[in-house]
Amino acid sequence: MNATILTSQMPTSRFNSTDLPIRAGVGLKAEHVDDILQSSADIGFFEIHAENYMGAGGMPHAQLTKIREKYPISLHGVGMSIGGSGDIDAEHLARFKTLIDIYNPSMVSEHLAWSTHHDIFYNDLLPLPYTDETLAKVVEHIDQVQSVIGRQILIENPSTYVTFKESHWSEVDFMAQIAKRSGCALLFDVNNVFVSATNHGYKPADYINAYPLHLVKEIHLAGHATDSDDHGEKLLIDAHDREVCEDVWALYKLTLSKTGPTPSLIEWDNEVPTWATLELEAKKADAILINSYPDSKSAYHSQKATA
Amino acid sequence: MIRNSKNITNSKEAAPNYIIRTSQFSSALLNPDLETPKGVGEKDGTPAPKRFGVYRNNVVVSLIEALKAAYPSIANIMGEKNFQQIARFYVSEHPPRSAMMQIFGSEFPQFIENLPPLKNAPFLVDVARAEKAWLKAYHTHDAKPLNLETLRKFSPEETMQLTFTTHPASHLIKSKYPVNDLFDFRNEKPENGVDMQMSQHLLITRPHLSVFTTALNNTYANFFDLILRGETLGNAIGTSLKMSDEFDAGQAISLLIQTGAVTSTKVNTNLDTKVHTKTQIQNNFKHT
Repeated sequence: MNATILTSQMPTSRFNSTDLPIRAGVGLKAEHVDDILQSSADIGFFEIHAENYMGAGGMPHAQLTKIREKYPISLHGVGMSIGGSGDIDAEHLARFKTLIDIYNPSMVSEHLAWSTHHDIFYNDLLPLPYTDETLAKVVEHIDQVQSVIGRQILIENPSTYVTFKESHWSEVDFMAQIAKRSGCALLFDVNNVFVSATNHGYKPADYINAYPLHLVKEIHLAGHATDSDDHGEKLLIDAHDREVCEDVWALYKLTLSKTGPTPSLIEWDNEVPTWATLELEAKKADAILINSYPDSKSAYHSQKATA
Repeated sequence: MIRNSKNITNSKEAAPNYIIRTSQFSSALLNPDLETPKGVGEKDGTPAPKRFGVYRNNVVVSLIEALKAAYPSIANIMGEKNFQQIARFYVSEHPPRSAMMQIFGSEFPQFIENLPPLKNAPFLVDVARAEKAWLKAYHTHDAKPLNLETLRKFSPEETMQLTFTTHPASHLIKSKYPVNDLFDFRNEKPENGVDMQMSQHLLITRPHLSVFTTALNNTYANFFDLILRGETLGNAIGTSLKMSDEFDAGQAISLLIQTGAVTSTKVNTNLDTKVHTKTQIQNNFKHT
């Protein structure tokens, strides 16, 4: 794909910029687009994976254009390799910028992870040690992305299965430092907190209590799978293949009690359900979100009592 | 664990720098025979193959799935077990070089062609070429196909001298094998089997958003081949009529429009055009 082709085909910034509404959104799946448009689904926003729209034209762009005419979107990159030890792929960054110019998303986000090394793209969000060296690298990369696209990005906390011996920063402090040094904001994935906390043996609530939540502009919620580690202990896998579990809903409420109402996204990328099921999950998040407003506290408690 | 805990590592052995760390990590991802990197695993750095295995699995499975999504006909023809084996090998030999997964698998037809165990199934190469073309057509930039009204503006003489601009989505897959019937394996396996002695050709086009496949016999494939190579309509028709009495110029022009294989026309006044087909064209043209 050639970035200039894309730009010449679609006028820059056809869509007005809006803030993400403080509501639940869902990750956009091609198979849901017809249902969404036909039912004029009442959804706060849609999040798209940038890489899925890096082709030159055709159905993906036609669908996204229709969605964008009716809804705000959040652009979520999964392939920038912000945490990589090498350089950011300039061509990839240019394609990323082109998408931002065309669709004018309300939020732009990426991950604290790497996926490319020596020109090979591993198609996964891989973990990094938390050291002064990696901190400097990550900040340099975020800096570069923000300079090229000309706007702030949000960085998401990872779910991980291993830790590195050389890590001398805690993840929470690492996240706070990258935000402080690069000026980025944070995307808080509650399921990732639960997955990592279970996998590495700490309390998710402690992580949430220590997290720089004042920098969080969007929340992610997802389902996970259960496996076992080398000792037969529980190992959670960030599979995005089912409903959000009760523990994560509870941590979501805890998070909102500290952040205040924040745009929140349901991610369901594998074993993709029907639109009706996904919509129901978003409604569940919406209900919790509404109750997180300070003046709805009594309403929240009365609803809880009757539930 | 949660709060900043600088200098908790009392490691006597210096940890590798980050470039080496990512090199070790990534080498072990695609090579299950390699040990998992030292210092990566549990909290104290104890190697934990099962934990590291989650990443190995994520990478390899997601890439195999991506290849299967790009080549569903091949996967269905080969069967799950065979495809998994071949895909695993492909993934290790040709991992993606870009985060644009739309282009992952572009070396697959050639890979199949050069794979010794598949030497006795050369038809797979043509099916893979067709699937690669289908995916390219799906993602390529939008272009308006030529319509009949535009074509009707030309006089019969001019029409014979027209050449066409190929639509960016158009691909012609010529084959000695029943490539169309085999390509259909992506939908469902044909009940009556496939006549492997039959030769088919496949025209892949995307006039608007949906990708179309059109099965063509030798004569019509040759006609499209000439048109897509920039030959004049007159020459393409003349050659096709020489090839077969059953070639119907009107139907060929009709197909050219319906499939959306071309976008625009150009009158080539300098070219010597074979006008002997003119009357027949005019007659057929009226019926399209």
